[in-house]
Amino acid sequence: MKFHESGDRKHKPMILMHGVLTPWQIWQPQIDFFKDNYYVVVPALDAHIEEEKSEFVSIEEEAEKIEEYVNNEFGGRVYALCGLSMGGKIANRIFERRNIKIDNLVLDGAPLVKGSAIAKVFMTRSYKLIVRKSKQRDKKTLENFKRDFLPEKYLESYLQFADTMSDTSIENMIGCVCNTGISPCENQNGTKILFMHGTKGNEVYSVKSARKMKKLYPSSVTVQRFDGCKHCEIALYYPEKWCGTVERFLNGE
Amino acid sequence: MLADFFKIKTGDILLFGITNEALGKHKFIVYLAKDNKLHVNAEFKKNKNDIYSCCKYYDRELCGSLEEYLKLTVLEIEEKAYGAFMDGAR
Repeated sequence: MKFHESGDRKHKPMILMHGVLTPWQIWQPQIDFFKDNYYVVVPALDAHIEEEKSEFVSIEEEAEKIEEYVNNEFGGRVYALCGLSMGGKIANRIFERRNIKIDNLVLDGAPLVKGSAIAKVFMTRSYKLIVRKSKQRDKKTLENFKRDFLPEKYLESYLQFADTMSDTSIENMIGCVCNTGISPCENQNGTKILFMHGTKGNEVYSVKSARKMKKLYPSSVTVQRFDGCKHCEIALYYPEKWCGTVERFLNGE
Repeated sequence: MLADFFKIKTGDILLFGITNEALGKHKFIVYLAKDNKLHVNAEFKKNKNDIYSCCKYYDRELCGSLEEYLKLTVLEIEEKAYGAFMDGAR
């Protein structure tokens, strides 16, 4: 894991975590928006580091590394912990483990509910194929990637870590996402939680997760639904809207 | 957004399906696409006049011909349909 830091250390810390096959640079608009008022930290998760090969072992291990960083750098407290998709699953796991204090937890499109065994097999095969064909610079795969997955400006960053991503990392990521559900905990620190989700296609998993979180922590969870939007669409394609939503939440509006 | 959708005629649809419960019971269609291949789409809605609007982000090529389609197993079609449904997942 590699941490990218922006802003002034005197400000409150905000951590932004990306998802599967997504480079840390997708947070650049959010970094630019928040860095004047927050100390913004964006980790490149394991298996997603451009400069060196690394393995994604588990969500628990990613959570431990973030906790260790927060303990060392900020005395065990983070003002805002934000996660997109699998990054949201890691953020929620950190919240459940209660090893650091989190004032605000922001989850976007986080698949917190378990997936079935057959879904895991299909997803793993699909991701392995995407990464393998990306390594071969298969034209159709890269076109689909730009169409379905990320704005074109992030393609080069994606290809840099995809070139070193192993099948084991993919198996571990999908395995963790599908095998683990929500482990209810006592929200003793009074963490405020914002859960954002779209409504199209696979966002049904985020919708289910948001409902479950609201049921578990009714007074702490705010759900923001973006009708007609696909998975993480607002964060990636309309970051100014994402920033505005998060800023209002952090300001208690 | 309207630009995200394309239209197909009911007559070009070969199969209305639903993935099994272990995959979450997601609706899908198999249809003859403009490239003359069979595609699967997992985000669609019926309009008036027997026209379906399909979201381009949840669409995958299934196979190249009707002959190939007839050789596919239910599980192979469901895998493609689930893949189309999950496209863009992170």
